[in-house]
Amino acid sequence: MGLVNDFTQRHAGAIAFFGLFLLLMAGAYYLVASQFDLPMRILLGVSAALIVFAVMESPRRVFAAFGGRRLLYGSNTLLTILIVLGILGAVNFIAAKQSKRWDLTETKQFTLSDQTLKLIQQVNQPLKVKAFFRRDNPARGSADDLLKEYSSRNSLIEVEYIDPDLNPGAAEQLNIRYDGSVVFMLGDKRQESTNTTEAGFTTALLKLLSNEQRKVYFVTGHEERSGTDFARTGFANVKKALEDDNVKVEDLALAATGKVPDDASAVVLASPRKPYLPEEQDALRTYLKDGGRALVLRDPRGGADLNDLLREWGIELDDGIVVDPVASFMNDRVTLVANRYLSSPITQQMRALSLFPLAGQVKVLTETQGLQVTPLIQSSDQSWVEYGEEAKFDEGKDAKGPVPFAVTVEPQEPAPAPGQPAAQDAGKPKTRLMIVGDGDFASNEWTRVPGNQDFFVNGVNWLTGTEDQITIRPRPMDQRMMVLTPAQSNLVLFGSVLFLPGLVLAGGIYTWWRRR
Amino acid sequence: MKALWIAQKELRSYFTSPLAYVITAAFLVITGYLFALTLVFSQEASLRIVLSNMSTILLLLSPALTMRLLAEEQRHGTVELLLTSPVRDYEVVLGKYLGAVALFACMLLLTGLYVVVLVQWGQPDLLATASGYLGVLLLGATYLALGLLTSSLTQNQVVAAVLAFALTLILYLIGAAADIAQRPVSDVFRYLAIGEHYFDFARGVVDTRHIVYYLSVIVGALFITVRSLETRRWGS
Repeated sequence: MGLVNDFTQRHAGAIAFFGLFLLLMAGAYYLVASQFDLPMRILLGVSAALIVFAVMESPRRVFAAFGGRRLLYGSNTLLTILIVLGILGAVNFIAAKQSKRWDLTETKQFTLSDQTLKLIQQVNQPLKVKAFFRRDNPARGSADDLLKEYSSRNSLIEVEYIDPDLNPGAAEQLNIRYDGSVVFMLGDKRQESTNTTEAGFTTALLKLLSNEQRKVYFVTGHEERSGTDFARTGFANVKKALEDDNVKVEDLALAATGKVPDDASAVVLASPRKPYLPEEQDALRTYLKDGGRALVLRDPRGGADLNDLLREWGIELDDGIVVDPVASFMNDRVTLVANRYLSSPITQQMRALSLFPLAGQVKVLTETQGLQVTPLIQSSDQSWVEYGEEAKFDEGKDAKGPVPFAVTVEPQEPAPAPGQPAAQDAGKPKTRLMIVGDGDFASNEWTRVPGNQDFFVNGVNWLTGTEDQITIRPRPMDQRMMVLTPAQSNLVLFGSVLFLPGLVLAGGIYTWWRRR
Repeated sequence: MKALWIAQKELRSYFTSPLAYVITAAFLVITGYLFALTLVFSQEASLRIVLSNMSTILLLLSPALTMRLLAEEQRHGTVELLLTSPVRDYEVVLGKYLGAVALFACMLLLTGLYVVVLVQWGQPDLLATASGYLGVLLLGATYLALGLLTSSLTQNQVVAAVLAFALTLILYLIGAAADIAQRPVSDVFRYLAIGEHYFDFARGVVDTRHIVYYLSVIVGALFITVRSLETRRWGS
């Protein structure tokens, strides 16, 4: 007892210091964890107890440690140190706001285009970016490089990386379906980009910052698939997918309104089954002629006849069903698989295959002039269009494939005469049509196939796209290949690992020897 | 410039003792091995990976370089000699620091062999490589400043080395703490993380913010070192 007492008395000063140290640790803990929980309280309690104990044991020594001349000098030093650190901190703070950045790479890989830079400056509220990448995803490095450039130029842009394997909840919350997706969130708006290039990110940014609200109308009144229908055949999922992409979706009772509203960015004819009244057809006709955009989905054998309208745009939809023994899903020859997409802005970003159960062909009429019809998906060479009841090719009745079952139609740009300026109405919006010979691919039960939902959403995006597209050319990956022959590799290995260090070691041995 | 004179003396001292050679050789073995390996496997004419790994290797090796700068003098009692001669404290600190940095620069210079290899058989992006080297130089200079600081705090070289390692490690790990903490504290922590400021250099991007950061840490550490030397005058 006496020995311990003696020890604590002599080292009361040190004990008090230790107590102070624990107090500082508690402060640091609070800074990091921001909670006043049990470990914190224990720390505080112990530190206070130690200090009190030390003072009680030997107040003289504690006072000597904390007070006196040494403390005077010591606190003076501490003060000057804190002042200098404060100045350095302020310098860093200013430097962070006023920084200059130089991209020294030859291919200017880390320089953003002017378009991107301008957009970044326009961000005036906090922009959160969540990047979902699996750990082994090779695209993560380049996406990280890019996003760093974005975030370093505007302090309001904050990037967070989430591994969907480790944090599936976060991925689910934002409806992330693909590894390598980046979500940009501004206020309550969000845009997702699975394209991890500068063009992809800046497109998302552009859509986010744009004040235009894209509005898409689903025509009703003909037993169409409805956006409010959550049953298997409904369109609630694609409606939600559109809303997630910042598109407002509303129903349009065309018979009642008599015309397509002026604020429509596009209309969707979602598998109508009852015929259109002449007034409704006229309304659509007028709308389309005036630069309107429409997505037409029709199921063969049951869908309404829209050919009066479609023929004007070079298309006919009939009741033949495409049978494809090759490009179909498992043994079901009438559920078509699309994994080779023909080139178009809609299919460029398709990452997954899509399935089309019971699709009809989109017949392209060859007689119409002035129209540009682009097929999006085509059936295989072994396919045919079946007009009978049995899935057997009947010569004369059925038509041989390959046939397209999804196309886009646009008016053809008249080529200006040589020397003449471009057409006068270059500023007017151009009509765009997307026609698919199937409606159930986008129904709730089929949107579990991720490609299906993407196809629908990409289609609407193309239809509602503004004319000034982002034209950022992708920067070529700077891969400087350097292949060495085995002899050269060995030379490098020995030179770097043995020769050079050996030289240095020899120098060391020499000096050691000289010293003796 | 007394500081330069001290620097020279320190450098000479490094070259006449085996320690610097051993450390340099170890450094070259590890980085050389990495260099040869990445060259064979990635077949890319770039030092990006090697330079990135150098930061870890230097973390381990630099305390060994700095531990004897001031600790030894204290043990051998020569620090009084130094302090009472007409040399100011800050000149001592600056001189020793410059000596250590000069040695470090020599080490980096020797890795120029790798650049020669790249140029000989490939077409490396030279400016980007230069940017990477600038980053490593700043990073290493920062480690050395921190090491000098801990060396001034104790008489025991081993303690100085361990403290230097611990201090640098804390500055690394503060980045991990940033992941847990909330804003705005996490922002401060992330900024303080010594590793975060290096990545841009390795990629070929030079940003004044990182330069300011490293220089600030160096200036701060050297300043505290000078003050720490002063406290020795008060004696016991």
